[in-house]
Amino acid sequence: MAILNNVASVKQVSGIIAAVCLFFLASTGQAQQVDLVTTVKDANGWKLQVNGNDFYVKGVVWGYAPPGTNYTYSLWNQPEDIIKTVVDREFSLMQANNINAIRTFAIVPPEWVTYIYDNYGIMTVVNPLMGRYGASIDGVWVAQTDYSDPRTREILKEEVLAVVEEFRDVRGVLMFALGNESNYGLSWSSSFEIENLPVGEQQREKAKFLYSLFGEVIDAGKQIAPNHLFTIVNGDIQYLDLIVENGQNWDILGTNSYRGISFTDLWARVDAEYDKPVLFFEFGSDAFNSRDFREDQPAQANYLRGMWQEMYRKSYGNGEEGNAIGGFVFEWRDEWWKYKQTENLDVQDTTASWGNGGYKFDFVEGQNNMNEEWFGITRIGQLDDSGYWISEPRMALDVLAQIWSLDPYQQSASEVDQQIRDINLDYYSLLSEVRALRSAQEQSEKFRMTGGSFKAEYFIKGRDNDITVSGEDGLRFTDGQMAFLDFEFQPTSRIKGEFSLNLLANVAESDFEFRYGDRGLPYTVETLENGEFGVTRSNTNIEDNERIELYSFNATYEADDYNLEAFYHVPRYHWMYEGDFYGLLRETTDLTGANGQDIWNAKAPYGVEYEGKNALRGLKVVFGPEVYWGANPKAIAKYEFSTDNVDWAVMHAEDIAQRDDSSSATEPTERQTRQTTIYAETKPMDGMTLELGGIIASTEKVDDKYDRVEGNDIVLDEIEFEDTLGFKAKMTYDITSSIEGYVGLNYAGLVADGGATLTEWGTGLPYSDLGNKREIDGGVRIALGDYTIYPRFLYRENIVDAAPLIDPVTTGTNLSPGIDPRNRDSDPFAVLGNREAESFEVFFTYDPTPGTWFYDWDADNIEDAAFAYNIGLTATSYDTPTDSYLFFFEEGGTNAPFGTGLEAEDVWLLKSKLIFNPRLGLRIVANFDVGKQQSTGEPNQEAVEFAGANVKFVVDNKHTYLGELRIDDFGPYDFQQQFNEVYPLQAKFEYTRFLDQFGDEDLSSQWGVRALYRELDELSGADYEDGKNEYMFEVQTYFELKF
Amino acid sequence: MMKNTVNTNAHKANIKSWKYFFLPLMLVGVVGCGEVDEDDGDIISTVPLPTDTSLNLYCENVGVGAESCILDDPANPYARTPFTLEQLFEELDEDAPGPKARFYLWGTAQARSPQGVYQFFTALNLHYLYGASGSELIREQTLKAYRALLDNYFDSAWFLKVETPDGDILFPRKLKDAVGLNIFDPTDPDVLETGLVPLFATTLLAEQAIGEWGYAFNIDNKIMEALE
Repeated sequence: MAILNNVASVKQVSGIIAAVCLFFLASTGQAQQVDLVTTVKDANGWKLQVNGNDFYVKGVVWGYAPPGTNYTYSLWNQPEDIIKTVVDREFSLMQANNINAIRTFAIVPPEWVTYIYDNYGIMTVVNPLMGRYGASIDGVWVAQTDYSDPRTREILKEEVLAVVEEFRDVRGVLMFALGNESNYGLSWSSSFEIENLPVGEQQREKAKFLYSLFGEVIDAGKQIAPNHLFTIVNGDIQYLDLIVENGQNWDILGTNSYRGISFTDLWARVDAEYDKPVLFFEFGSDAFNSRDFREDQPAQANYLRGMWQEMYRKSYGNGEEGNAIGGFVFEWRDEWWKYKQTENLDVQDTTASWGNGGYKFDFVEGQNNMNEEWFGITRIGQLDDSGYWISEPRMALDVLAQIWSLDPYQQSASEVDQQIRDINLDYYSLLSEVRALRSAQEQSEKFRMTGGSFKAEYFIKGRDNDITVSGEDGLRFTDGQMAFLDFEFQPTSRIKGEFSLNLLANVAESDFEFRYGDRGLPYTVETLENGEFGVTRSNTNIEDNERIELYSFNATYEADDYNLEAFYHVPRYHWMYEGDFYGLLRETTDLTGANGQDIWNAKAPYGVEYEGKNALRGLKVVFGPEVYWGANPKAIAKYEFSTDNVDWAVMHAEDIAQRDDSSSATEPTERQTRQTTIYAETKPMDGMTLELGGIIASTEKVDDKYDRVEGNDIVLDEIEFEDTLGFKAKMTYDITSSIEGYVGLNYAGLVADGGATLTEWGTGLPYSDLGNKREIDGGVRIALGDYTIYPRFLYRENIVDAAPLIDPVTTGTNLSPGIDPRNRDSDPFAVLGNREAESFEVFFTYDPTPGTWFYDWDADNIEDAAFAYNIGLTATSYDTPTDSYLFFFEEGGTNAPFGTGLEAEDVWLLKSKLIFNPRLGLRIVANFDVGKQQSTGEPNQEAVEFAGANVKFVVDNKHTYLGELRIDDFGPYDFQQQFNEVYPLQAKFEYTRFLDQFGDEDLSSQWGVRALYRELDELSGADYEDGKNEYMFEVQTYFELKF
Repeated sequence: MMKNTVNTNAHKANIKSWKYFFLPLMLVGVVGCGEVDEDDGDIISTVPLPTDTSLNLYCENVGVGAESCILDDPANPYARTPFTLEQLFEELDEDAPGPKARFYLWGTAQARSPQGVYQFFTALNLHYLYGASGSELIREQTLKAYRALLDNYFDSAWFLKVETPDGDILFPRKLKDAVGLNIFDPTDPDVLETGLVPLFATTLLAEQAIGEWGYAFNIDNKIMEALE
């Protein structure tokens, strides 16, 4: 009875609102353009109406992310011609298939909402996610939104209402919907009382905050936009009682539902408990059969047909619940970033990431069957000439187009039901196969060439002495040509991969840069022979070395219980976010950068990875000749598991041999070693994360001897087992919602060498992977609105100091043997980057849009604030000298020590980055740095005081202008700091013209010119030629065609 | 009531947080047993140099070729002594009290950086040590060391410095030839170093031994040659 009263009330209120709105529309010019969307109910059920006409929502969830991109890509940040191309192509296809509405995760700009509606008749749901995937709270990016926090609620409410304000008079808006299954994201650390409840009750208490906020925001939204409908996007109908409690003012029950081919009792429960119309904001089926490991278009089409059949039956006037008003199929097109989100972005992963028994066509008990990257009713096809990645219809779209051509309000339920049953699935299956065959003809499924590039370049080079002596004749010229050919293969459904070949013609030799392709430069081999008059030398010129090489290779095999991946020179990530506390597996992502592998023709990472699934989930093993850049041939195994509230990881790394060549030019090789680590992470209390780790390393060095100085004595000692042990702890604590602090402790015995340290937020603190240290570090990140201040420190002592140089002296029959700085080849350890340090830094960051993180690796490309910048100072006092660094002596094929170490020194670095986006199509990125730094090897040199700046303009995705100036700085390569090569002035200017719409340095065809200039002095290495050359320059021109 | 509850729990939480803060510190203390105590190890500020003539060979090929076991020989006083080329020639060699100490010195240099010159002086000091001890074992080791020079550093040269009023003049000498003289006739005036005893009773025996190694020494022109 109460329900009936409510229904009557709703009808009355709806009628009043409609009358008021119609009056309002009639009286204002601007608002006349806006359609009136209402819900109506009578004894036959619910309907949605637009301007008084019935409107059954036949929608899709739409997004556009090209291969190689992920959630950070925004179509709306692209040039207008690209946006228009994509919108016209996508929505004309939707219109042709009877789609009348879309839902998107990224809010479509108002002018495009109207454009889509006016041109294609498709309405848009405006869907603020209201903190679902994190929120910026007073400048701090909070990944797990705390809906109980008053400040968070205030900010989220303001944000949503601003969107409502922006869209309330926009033609083409279907409704406002808030969140996205936000009830599944209640994982913030909450108050003491809630955390002490059983898990289920914890979630429920948190959910109360969520739904009360929905209620508050919708109430306020309706004040701003009374002529619009409001709802939420719930995860199924979980917490329906809380929805009833808070949502009497909501117009619709919006839900994402993945129950399989039927929605089962959902209709009846909503009808009985809430009495609102049901609109699905997500539902559907993936098109990949994980059991048979193949694309399965008929299964997807069949499931979607069944779902729509039920939705029509449950709609108005069919004698059942009558509360179905339509839905948005998830999703319009595949998204290739969904599985790992930041990896394999240009590959469609076939790994099922969750299990759902409702999808029986591929469900196997205990195994995952939902393939996140295969939910599209269209799949991503080829790139066309206009820069649009084509949407290729799947069978499901063909079937749905038939279903969407039906009007459940104009035809009887039995008629609709019959017509859906009459859809000839065999025909559409055949059609999809024909379509697939046609596509396969264009691109062989088993092996095909996917693209490539051709690059031609021409350099003009000059040096002071040559020009002084010979004038223009002193200029030198060189040219080069290079091509890449890219291939994909998929011999079976479980094996697929890709590889790339590099081909050289002539090779342009730069005087400034080491470059990929230098392997093909001519070189001379000197041969020594013993003759009658001693050794004779002869030279052989090699002109055509290595014209073709395998540049990269990657192949995966997906079995039921494991994945296997072979990799050769493709980017790979570290495991530090998955239990590798000591960084044993280093990241190898810098392949093509200025100091990357390619300039040395290095080929890491190179190996094979095994990843267990099902019963072996948590186990990973990687092994190979060089699993990260510079690694010895080694194997690394990791096993992760959880107990109660603690996540554990156990790792072992074992070198199989010592590599016999440098990973770059002069980087020394490392002795064969081994490490074992254990890691535990727990959240002992609200806002606190505690990480503990232990290591046993370099046990092969036990009993090795080393010298040290104690007072006036030289002591000979041995490595003991305790010296192989280390312990590390880190505690992170949310002091308030906008202040986060951490403190870390790291004790490492003399030979307890770990791996890389996880460094974030641009820190320049001098962390080291070597043992022989007692270390404490910490910092407090303070967010003040859009500003962040982040002071940090690191203090480190050595257990044994570096060894000084004391010469040996013989006195009678006694020897004072002396001591010299250790090195890592001859001694079990050496004090190098792990030297004593007192370091402090403070970073100041202004970033009004923390969703695009200012410190992300590609922030230069993705930062979307109109203006964002940082400035940071790192100052370090090294109070003690180091032992001797090593370098790789290529001629001898072995490491060699520099002999003595670096002096004690105070160093510092002040740097700043500024990013401007003053208008669409213009991006300016500037970097400045000034500082004082030591060499990283060569001793007996003054620390270098330098300054530098570079500015890059990107205009309309077509032009880039880059200018750079560096004064008294090391050269750009690592070995130049290692050998203290310093230039009084280094300058660079570069212009690039992109020849297509991508505006991407890696993807676009382009031509450009680069001018390089250096001044030289006695510190500048061999180019100075004892004063003959005080300057040198080079002008490079290039043309690169991508296909 | 709720407010009090919150405060009480906050206080408890605070105590817990300090517990978690100190836990790592305590563990560091436990692991700190690996700290290096100043009393650990042996003081080697001054070590006696051997003046005797008895030599225990630390391994079969000590002082021969690239064998580096001499660096692990506890009797070797130079095993951990850093030295430059200049210190080696002009200080440590001159100041060494006898051939045994010099054997260790040059053997150490050879083990660290194998080359003809170091091999020659290692063999030479074994030769002196044989002269002083008469040990057959040392004689055999001397021959091994000489042969290692021929086998591995056949073209190595040494420079004789002759002081003249106009300055020092350097004369190159092939070390293979010096080895020949030391083996065939250590009393020859052209030997690099004097005071050596013969290693063979007769030159015929010397010739036989060298021939077995694959070399021939021409006593007339004092040149060592490799046999084809």
